[in-house]
Amino acid sequence: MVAAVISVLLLILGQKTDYLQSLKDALSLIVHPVLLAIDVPNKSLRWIAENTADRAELLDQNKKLTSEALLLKARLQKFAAIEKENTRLHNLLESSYKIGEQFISASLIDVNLSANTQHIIIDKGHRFNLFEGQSVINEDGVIGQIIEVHPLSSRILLITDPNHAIPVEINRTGLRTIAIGNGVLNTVNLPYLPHNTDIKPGDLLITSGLGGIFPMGYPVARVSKLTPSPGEAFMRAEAATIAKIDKTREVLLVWSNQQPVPLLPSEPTTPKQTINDAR
Amino acid sequence: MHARSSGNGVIYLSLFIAMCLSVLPWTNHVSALMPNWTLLVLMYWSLALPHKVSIGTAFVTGLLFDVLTGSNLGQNALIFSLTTFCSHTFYSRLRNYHVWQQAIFILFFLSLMQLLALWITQLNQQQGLGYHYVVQAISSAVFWPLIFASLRSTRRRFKVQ
Repeated sequence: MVAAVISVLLLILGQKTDYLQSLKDALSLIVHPVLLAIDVPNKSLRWIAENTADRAELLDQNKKLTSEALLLKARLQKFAAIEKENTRLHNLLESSYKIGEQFISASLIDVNLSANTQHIIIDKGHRFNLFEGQSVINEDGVIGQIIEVHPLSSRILLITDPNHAIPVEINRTGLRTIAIGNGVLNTVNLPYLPHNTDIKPGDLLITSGLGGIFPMGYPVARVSKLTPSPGEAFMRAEAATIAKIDKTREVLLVWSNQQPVPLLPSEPTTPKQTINDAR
Repeated sequence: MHARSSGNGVIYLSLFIAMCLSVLPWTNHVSALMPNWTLLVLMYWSLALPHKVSIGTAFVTGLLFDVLTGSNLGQNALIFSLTTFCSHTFYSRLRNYHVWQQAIFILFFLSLMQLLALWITQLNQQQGLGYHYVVQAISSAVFWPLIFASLRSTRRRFKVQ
């Protein structure tokens, strides 16, 4: 009975305050071996694959990566110039904006937490200064945001969870709306689109940066299905996320720059864009 | 009859393995069919050795399970301690039942506990009342004979008493 009373108290405390954070941290250290044990088969499989890869395969991979790096570098060359130009234009409009993020990479611990929530766990926590509400992306697009930080691990709420909503804008038209997870893998819903919205399948949705959590301009999803529903206030739209969570092993955690880019063009405006790979 | 120090180790190890099983990555469809491993293992030990697995053990296990699965802290602690309390109250009767009768008891009891879990989850998340709430209770009942048999043979081999 005492146990029941204590657990009810804990529930109420956990609901109303955050006194329990240190208790949670301590407990999370105790259950960390469970996460490690779960990850062992995957890790060992990858280890075997890496160590038994033959020379030709490695050379092939190397060639592919080199050409990819070359392509990416070539694309980056113009970015500095475009960034400058953008700052100048914003200066003409006298509006400030933020640009430039820093990243840290983390790997997924392959766990299934419950059938009805879409959470994943990564192998980095407090020790790398992660914080609650930090946005998480992978090489393709937005994945979700951190909802719990423990010393050695963190929990990520995916954008496809029914309890998650992300402010997006349609890249083609600039129309802003909200994408809400629907619990299905790799799909989100757009429930607040009026019938006369200019939208078609294939439209790219990017983060609008309005919520203050996700930095602006990252790809989120592509509109996949539009169902006009006469008699209802809004049309039904579904979009497939660009980042496929079931194929992801590594994710990137984003720190947005808090300071807007200075408007004075005389100042050198080169935001820090370090890729801080601490693995 | 003398208490063995190895007994506790076996119990804790089985609980650890059950926790690992609970968070094993499956596809969405399979994971909906997975039973509540940790609760079943805990239930077996509290039925077989009520003097060794107390409500306190269940409470701590529940807290750890809460942190592991990210549910509200105290949710599974409450459910696990209630379950252990019930099996402590009824263990002499339940032990005399056939395994399948025990499974039916588990079916009804776990459905009740799932309702409690749903109730607590609703505090801060909105979730539809899906069929998986019942499915987990059913699959737990179906898996009970398996867990019962394997844990009993473990208990006899390692002479946990």
